[in-house]
Amino acid sequence: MQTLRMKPDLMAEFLEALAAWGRVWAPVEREDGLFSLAVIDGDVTRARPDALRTAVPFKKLLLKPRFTMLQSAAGGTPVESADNDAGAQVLFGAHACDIHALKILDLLFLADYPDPYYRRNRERLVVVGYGCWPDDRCFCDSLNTSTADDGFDLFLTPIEDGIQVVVGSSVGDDIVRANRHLFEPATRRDARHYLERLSTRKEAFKLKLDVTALPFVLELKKDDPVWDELGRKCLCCGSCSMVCPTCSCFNVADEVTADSGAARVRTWDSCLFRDYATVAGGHSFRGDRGDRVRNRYYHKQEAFVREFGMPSCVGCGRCIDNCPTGIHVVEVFQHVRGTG
Amino acid sequence: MTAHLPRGNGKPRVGIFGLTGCAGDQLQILNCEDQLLRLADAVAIVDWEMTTSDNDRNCRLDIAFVEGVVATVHDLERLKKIRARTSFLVAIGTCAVWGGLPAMRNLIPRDLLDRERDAATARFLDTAEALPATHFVPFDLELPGCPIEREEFLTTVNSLLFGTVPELPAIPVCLECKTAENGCRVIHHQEVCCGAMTRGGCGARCPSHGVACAGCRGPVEEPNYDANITMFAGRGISWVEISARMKHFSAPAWMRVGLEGVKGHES
Amino acid sequence: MNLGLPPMHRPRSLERELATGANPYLPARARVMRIQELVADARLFELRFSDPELARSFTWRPGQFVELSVVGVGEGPFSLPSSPTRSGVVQLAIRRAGVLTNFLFDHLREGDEVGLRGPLGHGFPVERFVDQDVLLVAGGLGMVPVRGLLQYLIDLREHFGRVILLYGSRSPEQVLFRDELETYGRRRDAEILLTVDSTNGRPWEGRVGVVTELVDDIELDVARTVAAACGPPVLYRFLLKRLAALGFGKNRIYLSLERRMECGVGKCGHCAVGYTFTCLHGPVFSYWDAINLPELIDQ
Repeated sequence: MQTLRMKPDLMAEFLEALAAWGRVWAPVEREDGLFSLAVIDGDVTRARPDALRTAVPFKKLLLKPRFTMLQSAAGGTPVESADNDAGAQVLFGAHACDIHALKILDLLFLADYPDPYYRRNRERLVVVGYGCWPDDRCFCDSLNTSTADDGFDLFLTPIEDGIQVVVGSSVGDDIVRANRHLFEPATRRDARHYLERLSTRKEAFKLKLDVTALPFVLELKKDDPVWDELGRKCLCCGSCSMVCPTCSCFNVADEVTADSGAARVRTWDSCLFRDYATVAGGHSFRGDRGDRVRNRYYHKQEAFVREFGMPSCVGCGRCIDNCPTGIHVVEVFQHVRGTG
Repeated sequence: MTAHLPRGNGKPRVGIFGLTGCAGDQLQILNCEDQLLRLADAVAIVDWEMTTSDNDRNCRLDIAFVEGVVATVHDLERLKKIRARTSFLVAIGTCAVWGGLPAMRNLIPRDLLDRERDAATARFLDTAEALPATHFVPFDLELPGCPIEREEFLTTVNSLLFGTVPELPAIPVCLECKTAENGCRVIHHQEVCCGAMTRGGCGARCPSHGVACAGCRGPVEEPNYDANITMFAGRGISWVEISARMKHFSAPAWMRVGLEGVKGHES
Repeated sequence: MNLGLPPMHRPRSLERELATGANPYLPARARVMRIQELVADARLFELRFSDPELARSFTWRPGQFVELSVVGVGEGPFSLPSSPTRSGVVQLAIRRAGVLTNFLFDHLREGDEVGLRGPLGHGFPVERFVDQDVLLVAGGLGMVPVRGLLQYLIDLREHFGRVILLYGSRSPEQVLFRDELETYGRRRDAEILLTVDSTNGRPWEGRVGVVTELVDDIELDVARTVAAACGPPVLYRFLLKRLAALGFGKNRIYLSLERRMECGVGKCGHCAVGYTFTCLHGPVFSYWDAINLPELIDQ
């Protein structure tokens, strides 16, 4: 790993240079205080890497909310569709939590029978991270996802009178070598500033989730009344799933197109919807709303931990931002533990 | 169990009918413009009063589309006759599926309505309580929406011609609204938005244009009315406002229907 | 001992491909060779892959399943009801239950093509059944995967001890594969005990009552018996208690479970219980595994 520095006023030039590696996506402000990942070609000054959360995370770059998986002409053989293929893309402004989420999605989609739609976009995705500063909804520090050592090509962190640039991959090195004039060697002073920033930033986290033995707590609290309470409060609108960087469930439905052609379409889905676990014949295995809410939390904080030794929540705070009834993930777990 | 759909034996005979309603769903079909010619080529539309006076009013039909509510004795007679004539019956629009706007009048006491109407000119009205067509006879498929979605209608026709029924979206409007990355009408604008209670498939059209969802596509499988109402009230919205907004498209009728009355997609 | 079966992989480990292709969502073409009425609203479809090489090489473990699809109509998981020892043709026993199966029943004719993906999931760990008595219990449509296992055990008869099938149906006209099962019984290939909930006024020489009662009618050497079952949740509720009371170890009872499976390869999430994907880790689970995944079976 190599560490460099860049002058802040070179950011625009750097962003324009990134276009050589693919369409550049960056957070942009679309409504007052509301950010969204958008392609910034044409006007790189729109990029707001300091924005804490985009409404929908980077996962939309890899798997579109809705795409055609297979298609066939009338009476023909179904073939793979290129509808989801986005070509080369650069994700600019990924935070550490996003990068950890990306690694979690890789665990799912690139193991066993790899998902070719995900894989094709993933292999052509360049990740440029950006160091953020937490607000009162960030709790990544509790989940060990507040910094990233790998999983990116370049990682930019603002430091005093400069930007620290960590090169994390061979592609990142390519970008640096093609734009040598933008970078200069990092100094010892930079390193000191970076470390200072790191420790002040750690202090800045107001929201904390105690994950000590959380899977065991959850196992013992399966029948806790909190799940019924949440079942009464939850709208099952699926917003938390849509905005969660590690939620990746999907539904598959067939369509007959004009002239008897056909398509198999894949859309984002949520385990909070009642028919999500309904089998042919109508029996729902998770008919109770409280059961579905519990399932979502258990999947992230219990089952995933048992499988991979870490939770599949990265503490980004999007579900807190987007729950219309104000269900707060950290408060839920505090409540379950009996400390909230 | 769906009715047996014809496949490949000549053009299916289709009828399109409107009971009491605004004819907006039939208008949507007419709005299919460039696809209309293809449709007319694929099926034989033998009975559609809205577009021609030269209709075969008695022949057997393979597919019938019915819009509107049953609000008169005459509506009911027509509906029963259509059901008897057709192999496959599709409800189009929220009036036919849920009661829609016309059913809002059910909240007004009937004796008041009787007093208010002009006896001299309205004597011919054989009105009854306005109820969705689906309340009276079995339907094979229901397309909600006020009006119906053109694309959904076309896909449905394509599927029926293929010999199957389409999988209609059962997800709430919120899912489509979130993927469109709209600011939430509830969270960011403190409005009564029915998106979480309402079946999607519209692409969250209203919230994407900055307007709260009025619930035109009818309820999702298990709407959490209590939590929605509590949420609106908790945001300082008056009960009068909540009630008025949620009454659109006969939400009270949905609540009466409850869980077991809501039909999901059979897969 | 090599029983000629594809290996069982630990999920979330090895990157691999389905026999039907590298895109796990893309079905391979298969032709409908024969359609046979089994009972009212259930038919046996015999399919052969259109690619001759795939038709020849396609094999599976008893208890695995495939996804059958007609693009434009839908896709659904179906257990393989036959034994890989009788390969070449892929049989599917299908009950009319929804949009896809309606289409198959109403419009699919011999000679038509459909799509198949698979084999999917983990089947029965038959290596552990070698030299053991095997108790098979099936209820209703649960006979479909159990029949594949039964055929397999009979075809490799010398490797296994007693083979006992307890099979419960609603009524005599609902018994699947009745002639075949009675033939196995007559030839003493296996001990076949059939029961129905009610005779419905039909002639019936088997028993009347629920299938779990049959367990009391047979003498079992529990120490050398493994059990494999498939049926509706109510069957498990009674059967598992009964077998545990008889002294069966929980890891010597195998269940084939039904969930909403969609992608079949552990991606879409619909069949997940915690991080266990019924399609990828199952659909066959030991009772021990199932009991530790509380939502997996209705207790």
